[in-house]
Amino acid sequence: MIAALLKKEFKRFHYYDAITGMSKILRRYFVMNSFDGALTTFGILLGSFIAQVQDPVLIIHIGVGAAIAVGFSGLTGALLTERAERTRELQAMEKALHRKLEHTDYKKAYDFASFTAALVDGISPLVASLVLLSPFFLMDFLAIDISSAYFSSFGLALTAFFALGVFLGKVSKESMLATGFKLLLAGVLCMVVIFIVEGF
Amino acid sequence: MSGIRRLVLDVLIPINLPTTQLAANLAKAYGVEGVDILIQEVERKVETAKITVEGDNVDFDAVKAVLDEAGASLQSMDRVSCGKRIVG
Repeated sequence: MIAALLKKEFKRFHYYDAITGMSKILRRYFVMNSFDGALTTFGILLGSFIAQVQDPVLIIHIGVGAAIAVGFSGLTGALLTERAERTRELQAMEKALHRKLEHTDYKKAYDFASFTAALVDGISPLVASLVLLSPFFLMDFLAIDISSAYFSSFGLALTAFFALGVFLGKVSKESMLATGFKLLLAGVLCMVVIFIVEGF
Repeated sequence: MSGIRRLVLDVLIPINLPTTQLAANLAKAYGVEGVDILIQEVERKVETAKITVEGDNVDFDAVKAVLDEAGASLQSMDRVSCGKRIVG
């Protein structure tokens, strides 16, 4: 029964995707905003490391606060911009068809695309941030000290940048290693700038 | 049998609406036994299609409801056939 329901929903997603072309936008939002969230948290962690913050609870509070803010920014920003863009497209289509499109599959597909884009835009930075903060959550469980938590988070951040780059490369059918290293370089550059600025 | 046996409709379809799905949905409409969608013209936003539906007792309202729900726009009914024998 669940399998049948999933199959039906999957079919619906494909149908709506054919109408709106949303999977391309979702992929773009996923990479862009995961990178956004990961980089924000990376910056917070680097700043805390330079300031020698030793309290994991403090880092978690600041990190989660920033993650929620970035998530909300993505959610509301995408919802408003996508809705505006989709409404414009829908109006143009109504003009071409000489009819209103309320309560049609076409309208439902566009609403679904706006909502899903907002959801991906909101959740992806939140998840990326939480993944980077996970060593601080798991300090007791993993029995590691604060320095190890910092370095594990930095490692996770650089891995996340590279993985997002690889995903981009897969999407664009370019060299996955090259795009992976490009995003990794962006992260490393950010780290260098933070160290230079905060160092003084 | 005195119901509608064949309908030929002139319909505007949004360019990215999958016609395969539309055909499948029309085939499920009451009284419809066969569907044919012929794309006649492709414009920037819409396609003009000649949709033919056949059956022993085609429910025009059901066909129209499927088109409406999908987001297609019925422009005109170009041909309708009834009776024991399809003429032409």
